[in-house]
Amino acid sequence: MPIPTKELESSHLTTEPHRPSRNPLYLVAGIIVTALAFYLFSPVIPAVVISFLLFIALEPLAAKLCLYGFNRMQAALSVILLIFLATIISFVIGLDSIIRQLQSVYIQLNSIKQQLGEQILLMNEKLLANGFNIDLSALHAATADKALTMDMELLELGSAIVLSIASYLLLVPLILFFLLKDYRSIRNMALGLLPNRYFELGWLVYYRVTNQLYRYFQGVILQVAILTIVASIGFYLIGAESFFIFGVCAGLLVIVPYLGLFLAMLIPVIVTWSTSPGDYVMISKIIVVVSFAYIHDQVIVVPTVIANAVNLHPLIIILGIVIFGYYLGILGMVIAVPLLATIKIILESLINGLQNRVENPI
Amino acid sequence: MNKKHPLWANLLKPADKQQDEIDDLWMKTPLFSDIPQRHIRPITESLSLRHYQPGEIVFKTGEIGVGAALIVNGTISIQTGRNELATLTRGDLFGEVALATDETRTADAIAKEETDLVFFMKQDLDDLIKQNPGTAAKFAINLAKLLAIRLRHTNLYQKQSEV
Repeated sequence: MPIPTKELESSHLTTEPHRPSRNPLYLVAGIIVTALAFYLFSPVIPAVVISFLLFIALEPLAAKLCLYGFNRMQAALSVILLIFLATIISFVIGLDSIIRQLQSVYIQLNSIKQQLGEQILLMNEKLLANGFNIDLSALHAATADKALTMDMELLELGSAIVLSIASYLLLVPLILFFLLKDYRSIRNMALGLLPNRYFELGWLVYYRVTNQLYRYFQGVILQVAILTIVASIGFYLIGAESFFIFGVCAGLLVIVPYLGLFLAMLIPVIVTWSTSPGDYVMISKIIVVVSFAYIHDQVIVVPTVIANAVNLHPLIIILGIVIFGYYLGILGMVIAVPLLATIKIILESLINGLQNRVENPI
Repeated sequence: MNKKHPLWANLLKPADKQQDEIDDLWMKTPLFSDIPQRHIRPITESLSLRHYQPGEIVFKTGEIGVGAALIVNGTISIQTGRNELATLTRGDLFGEVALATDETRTADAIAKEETDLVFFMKQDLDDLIKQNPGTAAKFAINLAKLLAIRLRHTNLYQKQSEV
């Protein structure tokens, strides 16, 4: 088919460019509206974040269904139904075991509280006997105080978690359905709000940020799932009673940079040490299982799944984790890497794009 | 003439009633050659429709491009410096190099009158590849052909200019 072309010709400039308004009030207004929106919608932000993470994980499945002739609505509904079925089946098969493990952990808690206090006192005596002038009685007092309030706090936390899960069970599938069905339209509508002058720049930033974050989060989700399975199998093989709970903890804690391995060991070690103080064999086995799971993760999973998902200098990553961890705690450490990568892409794209405007005026 | 501010022109634009017309225009472009019509609507229904005022810049030389634009109404002037290379009208496609590379734009595109453009972005191409690889493959081949022919015409023009 012949390509319709226009004659390339030189002629005098016939079109003077229109200089757009540079009123900074628009930018300020935009920032204020965005901040206000975040504040007003803050109760649903966690549900939206969870929905987006599920969307990242499930969107390839919906796309696959579209290849087989499903339209977007059918594909979205099918994916939601599949997830519901998988959840129900998992609960039916595993609920009994999970409940027994949770009950076991709760029963052990009282023992843990008591044992923890006794072990601190014992350690204090041994330190003093060996000439170390370190007084752990303050730590013992703090632990004892905490033990008294722990039951109420746990009950409140449990209630809050149950209420959150209940509201998320309604909200998350709804948001996920519309994301799977209409994400393209929602995205195009949102980016369509940009003024013409920044339309392509906005798309460029969106394209680069989402491509990187998409790869990163897909990799992390896969990493968490694999490590959970490996750790759970390991804990099961060594005879740990709450193997699934420990496995899930190990899997989830892998997203905490640098501290994840330590925390993943700490929880099962504390539980075991408190319930069976002299069982160093089990404690050693736990350390071996967690170490193996994390080595497997770092040697096989990370290079395969995450690889160079983010292009940041290691020093920037370390400093970022420390700074975000200082201000936002564990959550800050988790979001540090993707947030830094996003900020880097946005700044690079904006600086290059806006700098070019200065260098190439019309 | 009803002049709309560039900021609000797209924020408060009326609901799109031109979809069939836009699909017909897309079908006539080289990019959608040999692609069945029933495959075009799912691709084009959520593409970005933008309105430009006379003299408004679509893109400038040196900017990184992220998509191709189809003229639905109006006229676009393609310029380098103070030289006008081409004047494009309804149904013409421009900026398609951005779909294939991350290279910067090599010319300026400025609206000569009130103009409506529909953009096909790189992200839309990525979505097409995921959702319909067969159609995406045909699209990619058409894009390659189009770029090859543009290059050929450019080379011929340069040869003529030297002579």
